[in-house]
This record gives sequence, C-alpha cells and structure tokens, in this order.
Amino acid sequence: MTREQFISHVEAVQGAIRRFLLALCCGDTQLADDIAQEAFMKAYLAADNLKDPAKFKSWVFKIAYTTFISSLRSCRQYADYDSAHDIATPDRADDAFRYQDLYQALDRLPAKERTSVLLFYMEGYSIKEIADLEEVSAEAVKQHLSRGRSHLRALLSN
Amino acid sequence: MEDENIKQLFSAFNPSIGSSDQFMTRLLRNMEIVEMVKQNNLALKRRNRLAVLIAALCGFVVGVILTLLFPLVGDWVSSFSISLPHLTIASLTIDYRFVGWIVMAGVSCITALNAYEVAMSKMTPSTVR
Repeated sequence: MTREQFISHVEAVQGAIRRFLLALCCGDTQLADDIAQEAFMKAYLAADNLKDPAKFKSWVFKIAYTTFISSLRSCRQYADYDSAHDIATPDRADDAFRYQDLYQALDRLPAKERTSVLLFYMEGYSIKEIADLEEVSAEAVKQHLSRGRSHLRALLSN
Repeated sequence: MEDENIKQLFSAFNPSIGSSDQFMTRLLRNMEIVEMVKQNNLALKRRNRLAVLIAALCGFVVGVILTLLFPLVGDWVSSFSISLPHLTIASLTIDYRFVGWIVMAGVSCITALNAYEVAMSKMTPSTVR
C-alpha cells in the first residue's frame, strides 16, 4: 500500500474510528484522539501486512481496540466522567451534557462489554466480525453483548 | 423491545469529534517523522555494510601481502637459529611457522578492525546516500 493510498483510506475511516474511541473513552476527546493517532501510526507501520485493502476499516478497528486495551493496561489516567466538566471547551461541554447518561453508563461497563456493545450497535458489526476483532470466540461475544445490554438497561433506567 | 431501545440510543449517538483537518495534519506530521527515522536507519545500515566491506577488503589485502612476504621472513628467522647451536633447526622451523601464521592472522584482523572504525567515522549518512 502506498502512502497516498493509506492516507485516502484513513480519511475515509477516521471519523468512525474516532467516534468509536470517543465512546470507548466515555467522552474524553483528547484521549480518544491520542489513541486514534497511535492506532493509525501502528497501521501505517504495518500497512504491508494488510493483504486485502477492502478490509482496511475492520483491520484498523482491531488495531484501535488493542491500542485502547494497551492504554488501559498501562494505567493511563484519563479523566473520569465527573472531572470532564472542568475542561472548558464548548463542543465538549455540549456533548458531555447531551450524552451524559450514556457516557456514565458506558464508563461503568467492563472494557470488553463496552467494546462489544459499541461495535454491535454503533458500528453494525456482526458477532463473528466482533469475535475476529477481539480475538475471542463468538460465544464469548454473545455473552459480552448480553451482559452489556443488561448492565446498560439497568444503568440507564436508574 | 429493549434491544430496540439500545439500537435507537446508538443510532442517535453522534458526538462531535473535533476538526478532521487538525487530526489529519497531526497524523501526517507523525508519518513524516516516521519516514525520516526509517530513511536514517536505512542510511546507517548501508554505511555499516560498506564499512564491513572495506574492512574485509583491507584484511584480505594485508593477509595476502603477509603471506607473500612469509618466506622472506622465514629465511630471516632461520638465519638466527644458526647462531643458537643448542636449538635444533627442525623444532625452530615448526615453531616459527606456527607463530608466524598466528601473527599474520592477528595483524590482518587488527587491520580489518581499524579499517572498519576509520570507515565508519569517515562516512556520514549523506555520503552513503
């Protein structure tokens, strides 16, 4: 894949990847963008490994997911939802208010449930695709989805 | 039913993610830095390979010269054995040949190593490109 091809693929998918990471990071735009940058750089360095350019989006989603998990493991301190109120940018304040309940609920889900729910409902991936992305079995994804749904329902109804 | 509620919740989920132009500018800058580092590493590899080639060549040339000079050196050493009657010529012959080969190998290796060091210090990445 040439540099120009890579850039055009990135321009096509960067919005979806950043929205996915924003939801995973429960509204922290800065962290989501940092992880997105890291994910795209990893993709750029490994671009020759991608055999089928048509699978670029799902491939980058996988990289973005593993990068997010790595950032959790390295215990990056990202602002929990409550401290996000202190950061004064108009768009973030508006979004924080508009999606306040959803971010709070997502924040309380375990990472795997959160990821499965977002990939299924937000991005429209099938269970098999999510299983490939997360490198787990389809049964495990079904369990994550089922638990994620129940938790979300309980949290959002409160 | 409740699954539908969650579907609707996420279909309405459309947060603002900030400027795409800024994001792409930052990404392109990072990609350029990576390219620069890759080019630099490539130049260092080429420099190293050239230095190894020069070192091997120098070591080989010195080895050939010493091998050609070896009989002359042998004659010179054997001229000393005549003045030392208690040492047999046969034992001295074996000793000097063995020692001579060792010394030649050592000199060739040291020459190669020095040639490598000098080549690496003289070559800058720009001269190799």
